[in-house]
Amino acid sequence: MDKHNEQFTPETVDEQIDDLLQSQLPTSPDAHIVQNLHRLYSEDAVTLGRVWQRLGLGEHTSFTQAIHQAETSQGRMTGQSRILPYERKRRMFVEHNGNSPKLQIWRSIAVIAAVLIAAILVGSTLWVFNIVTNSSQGGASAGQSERSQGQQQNHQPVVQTPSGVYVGGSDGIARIDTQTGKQIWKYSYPNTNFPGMLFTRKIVPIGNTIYVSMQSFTQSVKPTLLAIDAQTGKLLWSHEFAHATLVDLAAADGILYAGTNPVSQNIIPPTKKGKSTGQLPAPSTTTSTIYAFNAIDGKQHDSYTVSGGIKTLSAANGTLYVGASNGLQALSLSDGKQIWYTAISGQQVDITTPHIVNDVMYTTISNVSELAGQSTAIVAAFKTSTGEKLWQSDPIQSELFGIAVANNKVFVGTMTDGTPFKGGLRAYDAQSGKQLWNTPLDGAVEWAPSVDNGVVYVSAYAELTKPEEVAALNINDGSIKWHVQVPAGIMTTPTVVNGVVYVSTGNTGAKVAGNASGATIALKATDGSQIWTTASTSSPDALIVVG
Amino acid sequence: MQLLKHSSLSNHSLIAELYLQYGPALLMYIRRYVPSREDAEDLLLEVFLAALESDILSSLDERRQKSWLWSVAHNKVIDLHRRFKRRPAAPLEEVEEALYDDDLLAPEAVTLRHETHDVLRAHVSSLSEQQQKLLSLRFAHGLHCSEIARLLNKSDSAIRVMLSRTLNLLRNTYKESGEEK
Repeated sequence: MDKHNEQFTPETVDEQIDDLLQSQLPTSPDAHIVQNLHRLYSEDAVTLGRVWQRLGLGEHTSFTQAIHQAETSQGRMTGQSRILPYERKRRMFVEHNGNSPKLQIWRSIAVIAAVLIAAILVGSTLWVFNIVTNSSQGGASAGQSERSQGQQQNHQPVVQTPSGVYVGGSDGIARIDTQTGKQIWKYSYPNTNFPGMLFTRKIVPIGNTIYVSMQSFTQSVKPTLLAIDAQTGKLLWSHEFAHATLVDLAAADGILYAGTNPVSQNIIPPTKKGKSTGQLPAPSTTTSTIYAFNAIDGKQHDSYTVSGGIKTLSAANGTLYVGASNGLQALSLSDGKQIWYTAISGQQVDITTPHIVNDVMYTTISNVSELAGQSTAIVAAFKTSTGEKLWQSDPIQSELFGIAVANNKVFVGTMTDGTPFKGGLRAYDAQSGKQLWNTPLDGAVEWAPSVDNGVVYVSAYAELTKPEEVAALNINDGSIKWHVQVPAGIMTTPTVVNGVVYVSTGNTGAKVAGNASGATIALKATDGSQIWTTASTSSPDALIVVG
Repeated sequence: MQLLKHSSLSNHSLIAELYLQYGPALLMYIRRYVPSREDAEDLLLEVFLAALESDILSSLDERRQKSWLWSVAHNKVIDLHRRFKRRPAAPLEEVEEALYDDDLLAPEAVTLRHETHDVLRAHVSSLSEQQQKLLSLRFAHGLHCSEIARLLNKSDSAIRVMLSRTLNLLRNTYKESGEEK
């Protein structure tokens, strides 16, 4: 076969490249391209690593590893292909100038530089493995969570979640352009006999994949965990839960943890209050299951049984924190074993998603009285290592729906029954639990606040016939900076990314019918003025924004 | 490390993120116009030093940050070329010294400037970001298709198709433009 007519083929491209890199005489065009690409990228990687070092930006980077890759690759190559371009220049220089004293000095400098580069390489050999295993965490850049206090930034940019507003509702999930509001794609859920039978529990972005927990109220469609290509909106894989409800989703180290409860559960919490540390949970009539899936292919990795009905899951620092109907539990992600358990008693306990900041877990615990129907709740902080309670707020006569932790403060919205609904936003000192301020709002705050740049954003719902409010408050004193009206029916946390507040509303009727069409709205964070509004999924109930 | 003494931690973090995100593409851009590796390195360093010292960069949105970096890089490249133009008027001793330090003026660099790398950079720069990322993962990091597929959450076959097509595209472009050596 004529070498000049050879082509790279998908089936053998890896082997072709490897063979061509070994070729000593790059006579074919393919060898020429491959070897030059290798030199070009290896050379750039070394330069990028050197600049990174000169800027003092850190030790372990993709670039320093790339230096290693370049060096080791050179070591495998032979003959002319081993010579980097700048080395070729040096050789040509020798041919032109012979062994001048200046050249000797230059060579000495080059040797020293080479030694320095080699030193940079030490300790970075595991990078490739790290990026593969950590890629599943690369998408943690979703707006609000990225700005939460104590969250670590991921400096590996190789796999990023495509930017967009991802909105999930009762009929599917859509990706919307953050700048224009135009829908990029929509993945539709299966049709059901009655609208509003499905809803989106949670959206978790990891790299180029959006993981969605879809809950179902109908027997015809099972609760499903979906993996959707964030670029195209195409389904990558899915997993149905035949006899369980899909409650919450958490991710860590490339593994998805799906918290499920049995379909016909009748959770009766333990009658005696357990001790806080090191004790197994008291017997409960219900056990729930956490399934662990490989995020890439959806294969089940493991499963863990926990007592009580699962309310929330949260993963951090090698630990899975479970908020259940009978208490809080911490499980080791390495082996699934329980690290600690803190019992919580009550007739109908609800726990909101824990926030882990500086080894402290912040959450809210609501207890609804079955007789009175009233809810009493607290904001509480626990040591993540032992489960020991550090502080709790005074009881709040309200159901609590979620918190935000930022700037050493814990923010929580409140709701009081009545028509119209009333509520407000409170701030607590994250260290002591002392209440810092309490600002009443013209409506109930039914979704977790979000914080950005010294401002906390909330939505306040009064009643269906009144517009809903999105408000921005100063985090230091709770003073209202601005508030604007939007159609009632917000069922998502206002999410702030790059100076824009995104909310999704089900429009009038959404809270009753559950199937009204929805809209997503972008507001300027500075004054609340509307940037764009667009139709999105019906009854949107989950929203994340990747900037 | 000294360079960061006066910059805040948040700015440090921002610059690190920007560097990881845009550094490779900026270097690819700079090297198209600055054949000397050492000069390109210095230029890239200058771009990000300017970023460190910028008061406004952190207040810009992502697209404007990207534009800002490219503008600075573009201006730095122009500045460098202006300096090169002025150098021939320098004293002989300085020119001689420059021959050691400055590849643009070195005789061998005149030949190297026309070498495949420069042409290849031009072609690579015209590829999509995804194609460039793919080439970087394969040739800078030495990852095989299956590893890249895992990393990018794509199928192995999709990566193989994209990589082979990209290489064939480069190959054909070479043939068409007669730059094949």
